[in-house]
Amino acid sequence: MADDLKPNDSFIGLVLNGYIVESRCGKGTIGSVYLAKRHGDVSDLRAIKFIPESQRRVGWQNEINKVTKLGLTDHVVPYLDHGDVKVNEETFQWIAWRYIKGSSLLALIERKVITAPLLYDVVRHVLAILHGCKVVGIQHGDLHAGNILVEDANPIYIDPQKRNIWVTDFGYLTASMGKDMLDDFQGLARIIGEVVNAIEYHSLEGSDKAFISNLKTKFLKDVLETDATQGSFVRDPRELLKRLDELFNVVASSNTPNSRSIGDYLAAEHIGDNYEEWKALFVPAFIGSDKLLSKNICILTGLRGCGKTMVFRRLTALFDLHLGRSGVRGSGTYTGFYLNARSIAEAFPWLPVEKEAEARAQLLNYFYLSWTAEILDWLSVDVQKRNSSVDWLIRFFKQYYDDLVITETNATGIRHLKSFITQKLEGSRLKSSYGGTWPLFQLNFLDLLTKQITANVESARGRPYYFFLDDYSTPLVNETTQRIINSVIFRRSPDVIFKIATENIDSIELEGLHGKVLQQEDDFLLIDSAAESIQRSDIKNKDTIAGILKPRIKRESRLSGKLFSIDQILGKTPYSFNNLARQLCADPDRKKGKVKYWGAQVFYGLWSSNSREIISLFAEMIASTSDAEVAAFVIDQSKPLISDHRQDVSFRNAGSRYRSLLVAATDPTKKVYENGMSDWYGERLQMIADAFQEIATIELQTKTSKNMKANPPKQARRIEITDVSQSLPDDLLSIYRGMLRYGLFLKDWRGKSARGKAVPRLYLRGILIPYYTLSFSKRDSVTMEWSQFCDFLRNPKAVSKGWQNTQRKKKQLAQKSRSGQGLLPGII
Amino acid sequence: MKLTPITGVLPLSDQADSRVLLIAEGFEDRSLAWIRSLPPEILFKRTVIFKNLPIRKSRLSELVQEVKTRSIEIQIVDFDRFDPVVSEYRIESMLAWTLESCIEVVIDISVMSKLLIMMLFVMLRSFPTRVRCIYSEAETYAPTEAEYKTFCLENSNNNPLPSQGVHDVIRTPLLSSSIMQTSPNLIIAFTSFNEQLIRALLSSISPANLLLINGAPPHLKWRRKATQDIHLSIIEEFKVDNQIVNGELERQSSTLDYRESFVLLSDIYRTYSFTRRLVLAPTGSKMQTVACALFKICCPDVHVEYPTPESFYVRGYSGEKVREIHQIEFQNFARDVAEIGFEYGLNGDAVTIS
Repeated sequence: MADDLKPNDSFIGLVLNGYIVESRCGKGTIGSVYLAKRHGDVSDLRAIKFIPESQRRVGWQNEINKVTKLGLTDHVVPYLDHGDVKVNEETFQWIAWRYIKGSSLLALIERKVITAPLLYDVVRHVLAILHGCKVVGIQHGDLHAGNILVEDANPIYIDPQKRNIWVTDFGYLTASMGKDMLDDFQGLARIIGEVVNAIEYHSLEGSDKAFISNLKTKFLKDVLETDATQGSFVRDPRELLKRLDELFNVVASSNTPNSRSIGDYLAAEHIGDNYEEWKALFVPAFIGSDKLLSKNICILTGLRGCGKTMVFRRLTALFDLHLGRSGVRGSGTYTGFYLNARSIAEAFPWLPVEKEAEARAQLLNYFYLSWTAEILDWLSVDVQKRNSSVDWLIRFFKQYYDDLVITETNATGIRHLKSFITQKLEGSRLKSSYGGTWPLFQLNFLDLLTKQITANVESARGRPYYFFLDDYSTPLVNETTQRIINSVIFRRSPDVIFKIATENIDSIELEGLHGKVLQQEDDFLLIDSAAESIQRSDIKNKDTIAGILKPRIKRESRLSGKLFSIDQILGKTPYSFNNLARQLCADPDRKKGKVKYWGAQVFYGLWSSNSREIISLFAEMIASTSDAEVAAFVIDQSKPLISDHRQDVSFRNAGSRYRSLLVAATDPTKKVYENGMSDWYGERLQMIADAFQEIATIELQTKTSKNMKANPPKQARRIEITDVSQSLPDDLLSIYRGMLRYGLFLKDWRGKSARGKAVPRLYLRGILIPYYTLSFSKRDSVTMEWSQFCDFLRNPKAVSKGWQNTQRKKKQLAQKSRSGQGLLPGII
Repeated sequence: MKLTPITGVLPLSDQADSRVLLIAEGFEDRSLAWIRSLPPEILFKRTVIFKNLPIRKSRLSELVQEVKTRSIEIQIVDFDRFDPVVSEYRIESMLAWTLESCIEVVIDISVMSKLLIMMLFVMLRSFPTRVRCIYSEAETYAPTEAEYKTFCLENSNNNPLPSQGVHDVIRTPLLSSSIMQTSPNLIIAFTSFNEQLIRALLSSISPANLLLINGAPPHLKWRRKATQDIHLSIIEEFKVDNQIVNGELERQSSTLDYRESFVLLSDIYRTYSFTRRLVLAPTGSKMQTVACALFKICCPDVHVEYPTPESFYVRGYSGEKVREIHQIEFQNFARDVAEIGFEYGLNGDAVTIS
């Protein structure tokens, strides 16, 4: 901290025992401190304090004696020499100390570069020194933030990024002198108070916040305890150190109560950081797992509640550290991190298209900081386990941030970094306008960071890094934001590979760097959970659902922890879907109760990747049983736990509920209820669903399924569109997107993505089948020509009506034909 | 105690040349009740009238007329609820010079949008002089008890209220926070007659916890039970967080006395702020929103999300009659709010108020 050389400074140039005074370092209340160097065959540095004789106080030797009494106590600046010297006819006493190049704590407080872990380190070192003082029977006597030095990082140390803390300037007063002396514990309390006041409490992460709060509400009282009959810390640095460690290492835990039923934790977010529950509930078999863990950029789409978040979070390295390998095939071949894109959207709630260029650096800087925070969470556990240094990481970040102050390079060092990154995150979100300099902005920042990790963390060596980016959907993450982020996440890199989850491929702006249109297969692989659930065999789907429910059934306290199968709980469905269709035909009025939807096969048919909905339905049915019913079932499983009637009501209600919820759907492209037509957006979706049911019912009652020997009724569950060649007009595109976004229909396409165009096959969501009294069979279609499909979206009621009329006419013609009334042969 | 009680309206002192009024246009009588109760003389140096965009039914011209006789200058400022970030930026810049040399701000929140209430209070967080908040309480609010009963009958088919969709949930830079983003979310929301609001939030955020505060109106007591009933399915979904004691939601606060809400919010903050990211949704009454605004000033790490969907079932305005006009006064807003934060232990200190 040497000031510039001042030519008119009379101390400069003085030679004291071979040391030449070269520059001034600082000024105290009664003297100034200079840097002195020894040149020649022995080179050395020292700090020399000059005190005018007129201000020399009785007992000045105590300052030196206190330090010498402490001997080689760590972190006390050592005494070297002293003497008198005449400067400009005035006598000065000089005392030489080891030179510590750095900043005082006071300077750091003033510069506001203080973090909670730094305060922890300071207090820890001071207490260690106070312990020494206690043993040798002295007091520092002048403990304040100006007398605590934070040494600069030094490459000669084994931990070159670590900044050591030193205590200096012991007071000349002693207790026996009978004068007022600053009590060390009061001095420490004051230092804590000053630092705490300099830290913006509300910008801290949970653990730091808890630490600072504990310092304020508990530790300060402990430090100031004086009455041994009242307290247990009274001026005992060793006990205070233990207390400090305890308060610093308080693990912020969620304290989620353990409940034990099937319907617990319907969303991954509900589980939070309750790792035991993660262990119990995560199912390693999920749709598209092989593709997802391949070394390719992937987009995973699926209905809300299909388990995307659960999969993404569980596949991370952090979870692996807590829980061991996930058991998913391919786990252990990469190092994964998770981020919810919502964080970005919240930080940048306003980003219009015209601000794209201006916002790019700030947004990407924030994006990288967010990932850094996630990576640090993982490293903190990893480093703690391996007890290793993170010097390399601190060095890496120092390239970008010169205000990074770190006083430890072990596991606490990660906490230093995390506190620092948290502050930077809050400081780099959108406040009022875009602009400024953002140090992390460059397209390959994550490559640079992961390269360092690979070089320094053994468990990450030889593996690529998967970045799981969740909820990357418009309108939450708007198009402009996506275009900026796309330049990073769709960038080809051998080691940094993004996995992106979104509700629907249409909710991603498929435009990369320099406006490049991103193509499926070329730029990313698509895993569409909903489509896969349609394409897969019923047996595979059954296994998936059984796998999801198995751990939940096991944990259900009402079932005494026994593992009953879905077949046992619901019974086996006593009919095939063809038979179901025949029963429906025989009951054209659809009288409730005549045709019952029940049994395991029906339950599996409700699933369209909407796992949350299915778990919830199953839990609801279990909850509706009485204790007596459950007790009887636990003893005897010859009858299902849930009666056929209750299942039928539950399944139909589930569809009814879904349909009624549709009314509140908003246009995902505009976020408004109005659809620009005469009705509300959600109502339009309801009308489409109802109209499809009417058409499918007519088909069921009037036609038979083709290509089947048994000639069953036609079970049209999907719309098949012929002649798809054009893009949908704008007014219909938003409706079409809503149909898919809200999972009313599931699209089945096996070729490339078809943005703006309808796909040939759309399947009705399974949960609606019992409500609409249709069959689950996926074999048959309602076939519509392109123009007819557009009409159907535009005016579903009219198309349904027209369909009915056509069929009625055909039926009449057929009847006439059969009775031979006035028709020429071959007209039908 | 700096959390000042609600009083009746106190007369304005002779400081017209340094007093600013912030008021919003509206359709209800309440929008004019307080200003009309003032003597027809110059009382304000400047008045800012917030005009809603997109345009809604309003009595702006009448309001302008009333203000003209009482204010030296009038400024009409757009508040676009569909573009709140731009509005926020403009209003904040406008207030910076409007409040220059001003020693008192009066905010009439009677018909003001809750989002705007939040924004204005937070913008005033460093304002070191008097802030007076005016609220004209209506005799009746929509829906009436009879309307509500009809609504219940019509919806007795046990279908839950609508909850699906990509709803519009607003967040703005002033009210956002990035702190604790990697921690599980905890939503704090207030019940209301708009069954859409909390569902909209839940469709946007999947929280680990949802803490509901039921509104307890001082007069129309039936509404407390009604708002609880409207949210029963959500209460059931998050039953661990929302205990029912003697048939009533454990957490409830007056829809009028903002202090009850503030105390509850402070308790929640002290309990959860180390382990959860707190997301506050000011979905309750306007006075509860004032509590939310003060809370946000005290705890900038709290992230605010404001759902906007309108109810499909309950629409309409409050009744024509004004029951009472209320006032909250802060002598030195910046200092008082800082002290409130300290008193309620919101800076990590111990609570100093009983």
